[in-house]
Amino acid sequence: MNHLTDEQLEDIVQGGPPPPPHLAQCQHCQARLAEMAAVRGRLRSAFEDIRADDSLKDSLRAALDRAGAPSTSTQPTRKTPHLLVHRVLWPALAAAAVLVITIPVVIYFAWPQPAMAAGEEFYRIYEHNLSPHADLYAGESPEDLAGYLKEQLGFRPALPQPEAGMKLRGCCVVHFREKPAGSYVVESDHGVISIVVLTDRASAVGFREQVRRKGRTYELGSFAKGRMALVELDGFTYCAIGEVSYDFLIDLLDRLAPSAD
Amino acid sequence: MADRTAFDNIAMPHLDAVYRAAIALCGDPHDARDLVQTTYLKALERFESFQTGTNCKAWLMTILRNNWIDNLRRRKVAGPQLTLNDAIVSEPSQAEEAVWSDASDVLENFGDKDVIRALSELPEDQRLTLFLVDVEELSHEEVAQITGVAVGTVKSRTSRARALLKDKLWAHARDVGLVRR
Repeated sequence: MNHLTDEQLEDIVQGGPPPPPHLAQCQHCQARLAEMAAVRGRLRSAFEDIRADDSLKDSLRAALDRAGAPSTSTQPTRKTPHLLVHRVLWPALAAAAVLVITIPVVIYFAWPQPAMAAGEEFYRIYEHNLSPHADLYAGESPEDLAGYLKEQLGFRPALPQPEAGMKLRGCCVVHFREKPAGSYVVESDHGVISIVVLTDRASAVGFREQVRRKGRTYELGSFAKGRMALVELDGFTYCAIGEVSYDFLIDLLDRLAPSAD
Repeated sequence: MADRTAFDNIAMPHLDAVYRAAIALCGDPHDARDLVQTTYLKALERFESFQTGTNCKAWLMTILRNNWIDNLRRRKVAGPQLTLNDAIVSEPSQAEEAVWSDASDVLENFGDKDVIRALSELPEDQRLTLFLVDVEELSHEEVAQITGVAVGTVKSRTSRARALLKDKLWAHARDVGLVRR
């Protein structure tokens, strides 16, 4: 007796063509079909209550708005009489122009701009470090990289311990808020991480979220797909950026070893 | 420039489905949210290429899948989870060969999180294929288009994925004593 193939059973589960007569006579195939249907049903019910919550909807709408696509209606427009243009349209356009100028100014002063700008700037550094155009001083030895940064910046930053499952790809000088800063790239099992070293205080960066781990305060931020964690250590601020979890970034920062100088 | 009003009307109603798919792929709500966001941003960017009247959900799922693969490549996640073809097939086991006589009863004992976690442990393309076929109830043809493989491959992949999911749940059921060892 030839049992039904998996493909035939798939078609039946999906409500395809009428099942072959064999199915009515074969308990084995009936049991396989029942089992497939049961797994399918349970899988569907597991996802039944999963919905995008309001915060996801809000952040998505905001991201789409920021993407800069203007809302253009598909509704046909009616021709406006000439008199209406002078009496209604021009004053309305003038008012709109005032709003267009005023609203960004108000938002600029009312919104915590530094935090947003910092996240974006860190992410750009991260993306630049990943690009083939990044002018990295290559090297896997922490001492070599520390020496290079000392030469370029005048200070030796802390570097990740090489034995911590990470590999240093290289380092370079970047600019953060128009000031030179150190940056190095770390390869890890979780992905590529950039660490930017600033001479500014962590609080000056303006991230709003904070967590305490092992006696240190880490500040968290994000931009696009990147997450950022920063910490102050020996007078410098270290910001780790990557498309990984905050915990991983914090762990990495926790493993920074002060450079012997 | 994309017509934002049309985009809102056509693409946004599929947000729940896209989010569920992202959960199925990532397993983690935080990563799923990021994946949803990049998917919709790319969809808006390419909305002019979307043909009105065609299946928007399938179109979004294609973008989601491509973004997710880009993420995986970018993160350089090593190991068998990077498998994006059918060349690597899971090892068959005794449980896979067996047929549950009381499948529905056993399955009802698992929490939703257990089921979703088991799904997220499947090889990548099996995971998405099974999700799209079983949860979103897309046709084999639609899933073939999304995943870029033949319809026959979708059927065999779905079948293997379901068997492997059962296998994983079966192992878990034995661990927690739901079924006899």
